[in-house]
Amino acid sequence: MSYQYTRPLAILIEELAKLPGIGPKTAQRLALYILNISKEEANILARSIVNAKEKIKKCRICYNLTDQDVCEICQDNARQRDVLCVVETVRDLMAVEKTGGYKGLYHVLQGAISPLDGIEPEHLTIEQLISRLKTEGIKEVILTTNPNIEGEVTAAYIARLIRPFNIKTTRIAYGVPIGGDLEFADEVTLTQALLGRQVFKNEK
Amino acid sequence: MSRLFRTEGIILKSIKLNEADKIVTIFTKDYGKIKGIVKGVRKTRSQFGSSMENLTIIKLLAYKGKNLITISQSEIINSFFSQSKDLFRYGLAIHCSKIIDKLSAEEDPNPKLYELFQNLLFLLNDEQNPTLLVESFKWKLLTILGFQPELKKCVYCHNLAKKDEYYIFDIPRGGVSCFNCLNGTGRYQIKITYYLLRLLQRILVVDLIDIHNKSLSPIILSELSKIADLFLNFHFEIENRSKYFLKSCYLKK
Repeated sequence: MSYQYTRPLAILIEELAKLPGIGPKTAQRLALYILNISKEEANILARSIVNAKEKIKKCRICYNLTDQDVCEICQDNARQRDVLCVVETVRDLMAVEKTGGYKGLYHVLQGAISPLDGIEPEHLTIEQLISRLKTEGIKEVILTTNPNIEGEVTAAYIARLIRPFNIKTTRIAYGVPIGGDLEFADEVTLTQALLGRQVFKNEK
Repeated sequence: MSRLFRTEGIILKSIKLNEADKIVTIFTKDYGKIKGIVKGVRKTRSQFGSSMENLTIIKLLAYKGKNLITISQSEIINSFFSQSKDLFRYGLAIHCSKIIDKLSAEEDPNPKLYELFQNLLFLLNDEQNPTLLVESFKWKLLTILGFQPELKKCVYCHNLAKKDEYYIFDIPRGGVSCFNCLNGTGRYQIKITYYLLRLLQRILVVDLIDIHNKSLSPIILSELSKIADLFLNFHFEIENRSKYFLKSCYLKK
């Protein structure tokens, strides 16, 4: 007969194994590590999970994650309030925010249109985006959805809805990644990069 | 299938795996539908770039391990990316890829079906009347798979009244019947005109590339797609989801 974990340990391993990217072996290692740490540390970990789960919700305006009614970015008056960056997920927002180069507002769609997976425009926060455009005096919308087919379709769909508002609508550039190798760039990306070429600016 | 193989294929769908990988379903020319792992494809600097996007036609080099197929190299033949801004064509194409996915078994090669799907994707770009093209594609696909509708003889009396004003398309029976052989129409018994019957007959014989008809009325087109959708729904339980998608795109216009 195979070895069986004692009941509480088995439950812990089972729960940990539910996390993404964690297999049974890793779950076992994490569980044994948790058993080794002090009771306070374990409590902090447990509480932080429950705390985050209870307090974090979606911002009423932009659907970013926050522990308040309106997120920090939407509240920040130092930010440019007439530029709106439309992203698919909170992870994309974090990626853009990490660049530090963008100082406007965001709108998180909660996904991309994908009829194959049954995700249609109604499932996203597109309607809310449109009502923001009606009230907030936005001057530019930057479509920052993923540069794949679903992202393109979503961008095209939103762009069409925005058209009647006469708001400047831009799409992030397509091109070859810095540090990449032209030889390995695929034809579509390279074509887009050539089409989107810019006048070379020397240092000031 | 040898361990290392090269072929051509069309990407049908993909699911995300781990941090940056994907499992893609590819409809290949020589090996039928396969599922393969593509490592690192979601990274910005991946050599695969846009080649693993839905509806892309690619040349690929893959390796078959004990359980899984790993895609190791790819080269784009035709990309759908530039067309994806056209929501209407995208909706149609994605619906076709779904039908192919549902009706093909894994590792069951069907070169004829491959050629048909490839032609569709090439033609969809320039076609004036994408709806007619896609409806024709559906009937040709059914014919290749052995579900060719009976359009020459009545499915009940085995004769067909010549040049009658109306006929009935009996979906469960898979063909057309004289107007007199059936007692009325039903959910799956659709009344069609002589013109529509002729159109269906023509679709089955003419190549996809030669099917043009700019003068078709939208009513005929919508009847045409209604019959095909009901047929696919009745016999294979395929629902035309992209119809909802297209509707939601065009109602809000």
